[in-house]
Amino acid sequence: MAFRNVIDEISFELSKLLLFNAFLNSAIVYMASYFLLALFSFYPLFFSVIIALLFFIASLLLSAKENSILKVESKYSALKEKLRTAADNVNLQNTVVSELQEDIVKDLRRVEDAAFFSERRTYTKILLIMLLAFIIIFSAPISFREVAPDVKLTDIPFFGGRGGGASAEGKGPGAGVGPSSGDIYGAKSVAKLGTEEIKIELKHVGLEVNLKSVKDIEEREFEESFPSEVYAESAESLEENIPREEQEIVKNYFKAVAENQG
Amino acid sequence: MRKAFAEMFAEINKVVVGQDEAVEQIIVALLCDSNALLEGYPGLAKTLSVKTLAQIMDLKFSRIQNTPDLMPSDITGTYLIEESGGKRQFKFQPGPIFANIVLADEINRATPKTQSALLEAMQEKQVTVGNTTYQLDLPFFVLATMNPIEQEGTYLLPEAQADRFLLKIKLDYPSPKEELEIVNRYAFDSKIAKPKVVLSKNQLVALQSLTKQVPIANDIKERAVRIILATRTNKDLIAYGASPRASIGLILAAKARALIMGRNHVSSEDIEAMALPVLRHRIILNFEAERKGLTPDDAIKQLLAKVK
Repeated sequence: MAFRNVIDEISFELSKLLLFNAFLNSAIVYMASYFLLALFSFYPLFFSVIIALLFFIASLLLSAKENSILKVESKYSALKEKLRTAADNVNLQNTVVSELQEDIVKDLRRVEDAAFFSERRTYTKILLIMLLAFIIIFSAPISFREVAPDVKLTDIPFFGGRGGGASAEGKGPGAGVGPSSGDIYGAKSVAKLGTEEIKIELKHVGLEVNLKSVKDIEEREFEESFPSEVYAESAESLEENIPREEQEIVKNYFKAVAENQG
Repeated sequence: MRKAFAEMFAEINKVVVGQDEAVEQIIVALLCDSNALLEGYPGLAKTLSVKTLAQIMDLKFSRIQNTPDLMPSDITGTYLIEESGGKRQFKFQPGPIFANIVLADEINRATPKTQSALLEAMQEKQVTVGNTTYQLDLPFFVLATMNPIEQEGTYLLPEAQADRFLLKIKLDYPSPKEELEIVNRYAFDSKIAKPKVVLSKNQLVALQSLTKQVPIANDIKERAVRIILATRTNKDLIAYGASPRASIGLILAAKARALIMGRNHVSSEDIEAMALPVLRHRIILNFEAERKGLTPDDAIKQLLAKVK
């Protein structure tokens, strides 16, 4: 096996671990940012995905700068300076280099993926993700508006402060063009129908079978109706228009033709 | 490989007590197919170490005691008139330079003319006498010694000449324990152990070729070059820095040391260990550093700590 393959394999294996680690970290960032943004009802899904994606790309770029060879050397002192020498001189062919490559292949048999993978840290990260998931689920009904209903989102400098975007009441500089009633929820009177109080019940959509609503199969009676008269019509036979007196001649003609063919 | 070198050191230690670092550095110079300067006080086994090394490698050894009246022809050889069959003809009589290991004792006592004759042989591995050029037998290795005391009436090696030596090896006094062993070995025993040959001439040439094949990582190589560059840019300590020849020398010496240590790759440790002997004769300290009482070794150590 060419020594270059050994070097490539080391890089590949470590890249997989780095990718997994970056994914876990990004998941934590996604969850945390989703929770915070959801608290302020600030497009949580959209922005948290962007933040997590940027974090993922940044961690991949940072980890790509790390030298995988040096990483292995730091974990295995027997390979210190040896591995990078062999990697730098992978194209060199001589007795000493071959001997060095053989030594490294022997030493690499002792190298395990687990050395670069902290189980404890990974479990902690997974637990953190789970914890964040539960926090998000249980805090779903709560939002910043409920906690502090008088505070508007645009009052917070982080979200645009005094000057940014349209306010909830459409009064900001970014409010829609054209005449505005000043209330984006519309006139309250529209929601009233006369003087009657409307009772609206919203039923959730479900596919569960309600055993109480099961009924017996309804019997249906079918009427028999036949046509008053049933008859058949004979099929029309095709008769050639040959005069009766010449039919004998034609018959004889076909008979002679048949005999000649036989 | 490590076993072979261990055996070599064991044989040298039969004769030479201590001086392990110096002996290691002499072998480094040998493996690099280069020459070395040896600096130490008299009586520190400089000649004995080199002679023993020649014995264990089955190499032809010669010694030149440099004096101000030594002529180049005393080193390279000369034409003598030989009479045979009633005819007189010139015959070339090779000088002591025609050996595998040449110990040029107290090189700074020879005149510049004689020094340059020796240095030319070192560089070209050949000598020209009259109109004829003679190739020197390989491997060829010159080990020149210098005495740090009694500098009067000496001709210091110019920087350009000193640069041709790969290493400047310093010999220190032995430890009390080692000195006691020296006394026991040479003041009482009538029989001094004779070292056996552990490496043939061909094996040494093969090892020299193997030295160049030792791989080095890019970052270690870059650090070695940065150390050399730092000798040129660090003007607060060094007035004149090392040449690119020092960069080549440092990498090569580190490769040889790696081989001696039984490693098949150069380590940062090799670079740090070889930086002192490679650089100490190639840099000139500035007045401020000298005023502070710093030595070239101190300056190099400071650079090593700075360049990581």
